[in-house]
Amino acid sequence: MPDERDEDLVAGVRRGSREAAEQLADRHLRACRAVALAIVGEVAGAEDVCQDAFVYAMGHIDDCRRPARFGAWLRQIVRSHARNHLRDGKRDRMVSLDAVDAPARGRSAERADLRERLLAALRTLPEERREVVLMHDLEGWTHREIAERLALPEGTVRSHLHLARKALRRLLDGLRADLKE
Amino acid sequence: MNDDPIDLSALDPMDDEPRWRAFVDVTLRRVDAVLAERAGREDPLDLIASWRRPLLAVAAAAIAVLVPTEIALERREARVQRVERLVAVSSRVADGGRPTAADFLRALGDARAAEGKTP
Repeated sequence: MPDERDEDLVAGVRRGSREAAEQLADRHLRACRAVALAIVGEVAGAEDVCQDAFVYAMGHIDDCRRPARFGAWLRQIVRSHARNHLRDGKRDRMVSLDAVDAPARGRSAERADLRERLLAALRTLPEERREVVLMHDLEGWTHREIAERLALPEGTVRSHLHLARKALRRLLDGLRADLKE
Repeated sequence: MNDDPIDLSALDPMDDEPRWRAFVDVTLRRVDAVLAERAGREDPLDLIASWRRPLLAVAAAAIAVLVPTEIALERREARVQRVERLVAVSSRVADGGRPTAADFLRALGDARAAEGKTP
């Protein structure tokens, strides 16, 4: 059912369809991870939050009042879970999930270092700017899509994106220079 | 002014596709558990709604049987009472009594009333 609308898939989940839940995961999980990453600031914690939020959404699917806007509803749950995650300081859990990621580091230490540098640079940005740059440069959303989904004027999205890129470029260039020294 | 996109591919979940697939699989396994729990949880309103049709059918069948039965029983009872009153008047005559005109009228009148006629 690749062409089914979100509202049909939500109805499917309400009837207990696993296939519908899988379709919703395929459609929305990546964006949820990016939203969580923008708030939590590290990959393992963001995925932890993203998974918890998606499972929560499936369990509370009857609370989704506008199934056509399932994605927006889900991302709101992700934001809430991410903030709780930070507030509760689930650092121990993050460390254990980082340990799971260790083989990946072994396979590509350089890639892992680049990821850490990017995350460190992203963490210096305001949350909204982080989300905008991740949605645009990582998830490939257009300015208009980001504006609609974050309820921001399109000009503000462009401005956030420009300033975020400028800051990231400066920080990443600085890190590269430090590594050369 | 350079405003090209930043290369964030190192943060892309598909940068380590097997790991991402495993993550999605684990997520969906947790969803399976949630869906199974939802399926086992009967909503009281759904339960009532699912019973509504059979209950209405049973109620309609009961009305269809009981109302004519009740009407038939009432008619039968009225007929029995009329016969009893006529027998009572007849017995008084047989015993040498003299029923009054009012006794006759009451017995016949009640009988007509029981049949839905005016005396």
